[in-house]
Formats: sequence, structure tokens, C-alpha cells
Amino acid sequence: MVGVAYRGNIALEDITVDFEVEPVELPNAIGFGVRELVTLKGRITESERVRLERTSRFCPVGQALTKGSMQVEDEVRWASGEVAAIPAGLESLPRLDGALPAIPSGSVHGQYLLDTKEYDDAGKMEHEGEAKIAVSCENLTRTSRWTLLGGHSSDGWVPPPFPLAHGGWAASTASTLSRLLPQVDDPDGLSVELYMAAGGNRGESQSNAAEGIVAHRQVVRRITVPGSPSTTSIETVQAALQRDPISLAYLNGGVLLHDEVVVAS
Amino acid sequence: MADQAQPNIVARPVGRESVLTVIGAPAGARGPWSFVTGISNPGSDMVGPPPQYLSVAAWAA
Repeated sequence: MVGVAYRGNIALEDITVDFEVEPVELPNAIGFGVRELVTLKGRITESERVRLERTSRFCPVGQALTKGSMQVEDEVRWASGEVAAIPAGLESLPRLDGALPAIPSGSVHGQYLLDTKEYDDAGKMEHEGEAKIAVSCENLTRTSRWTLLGGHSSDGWVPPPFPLAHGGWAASTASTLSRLLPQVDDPDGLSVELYMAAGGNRGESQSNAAEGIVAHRQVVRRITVPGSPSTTSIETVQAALQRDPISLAYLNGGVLLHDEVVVAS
Repeated sequence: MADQAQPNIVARPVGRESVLTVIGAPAGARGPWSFVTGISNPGSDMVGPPPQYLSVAAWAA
């Protein structure tokens, strides 16, 4: 949003974003939903607010999680050496007995770090800068908190948002498979790898977001599992993938329960 | 893309209650950035946020 505001000469002085994360236990739900509040600071007109609201809804991460922008090819590699692509629409998938861990309630607060913007010698913005993200959620014995950094900087000190989102997807996939695959007694034999084309054009991504255009992106997800196709069938792997929360969000959306973009008075 | 020598992102379970994820894994790429996410369980506190929170954190960034 900072890049769109800069290119559109919108006087955005600061920005925060708050997500409330809540478990959703409805049948066929993905297991959680979020309520998003974006707070803008600056002399921003209503038409500019609407443009930034659209940008928020169509940012690359938001597109992946809510608008089905990711085109995923899945491949399974067994420890025994066999490799197979998972075809779309496999039928008669087995019913898996394992239970997925509940997704706890919590919040995610993003604070833009104003002084991390970078400009070239001519005064043109080169990198939008970074955000500090405070994560808080219920844990077994207490509420736990973690701090992350993400954004765009020249030295690559922090991960850009899009790869960071896919890191969450890969971790979600590994977590889900470790709980649902019946033969995974040794979770060390399980891995999830993502292969993507080199980083996209950030200016184009921001332009798409500002215009409300969904840009489809391809990714190959390679899953390595212990055993062989006879002990862990391809149908079993796909049945497990179809219960993974982030994979379901990538496929069907449904994670965004409410969103609002406001200008602070 | 899967013909690449190394994946962009790798995630592996560590024990049964956490997952280690490396973003920017290929040599020469920006990174690597490593994250530990937790899997909620009845026996211990998670050592990192659940994976879904990592994706929401990226959304916030």
C-alpha cells in the first residue's frame, strides 16, 4: 500500500494493520478466519481511501489467501524413490482418522517502520521499507507473543511478504501431513518444498493491486514422504492436503471474515 | 520450476510439535530466513506461532 500511495501521490503518512484471528469450526471450513482493520494516517480523500482499500484487498498475499490466485502443481516423492504428480480431481479419496491441531485465537498487528523507506540519489523511492509484525495467540499455559519483520529493503534483511506467506503455507502443509499421514512415525522423513519462478515485478504487482486485478502465479509443491506408494498412497497424500487450512484458503478463499480500511482522524 | 536445483522454500517437521521453514533457500538467492512454527498440542506450549499466523503476518507486512 505504501508503494501504491507513493506512485499515486497519496499523502499516506503512516499505516497500521490489525488482524483478529479466530478458529472457525463449521463443517468444511478451513479452520480459521480473520477480521482485518487497516488504519491510514494522512490527508487522504475518500477516493484515495477507496483506492487503498482495493489495494489492500488485491495485494499479492491477499490474492493468494482469498482470491485463488495461486496455481499449484503438487508432486509426491517417496523415500523409496518413486515420484508422481498428483492429478487434479482424484476421486474416492480415503478418509483419514487423524485430527488436525486447533488454530488458536489471537491477533496480528503490523506497524510500518517509516524510516526504513529507501530512496535513490534522485529522491525516487526504491524500496517501500519494512514492517514490524507482533503476533499474539493463545498457548497451552499462557498467551504467547512473537515479533517478525517483513517488507522490501535493498539488503534483504527481511523476507518480502509474498515469500513469507508461502513459508507459512509450506509450514502449514508440513504440519498437516505430519498429523494425518498414517505412516509418518518419523516426521523427520517428511518435507515440503516450494519451487517458484524468480521474484515478480513489484511495480506490476502494486499496479494490479491498485486496479483490482487478480494475477495468477504458478508454484510447484514437492512433498517428500517416508515409505513407498504401497504404504502411503498418492490418494492418502491428497486427502491430507485437502484438509490443510492454508491450502484450502489458496484453493477456495474463505479466510477473510471482515475487512475495513479507515482514515484516522 | 521443479527442475530448479534447489527449492525456494523448504519446510520440515522438527519432532512432532514444531516445523522449521527456510525461505530463500537456494544459494545466491536473498535470504535465507528461517522460522520455527508451532503445532498446538496438549503436552507443551508451542515454541513458535502456528503456521497460519506466519501467513497472516505476511499479509500484514
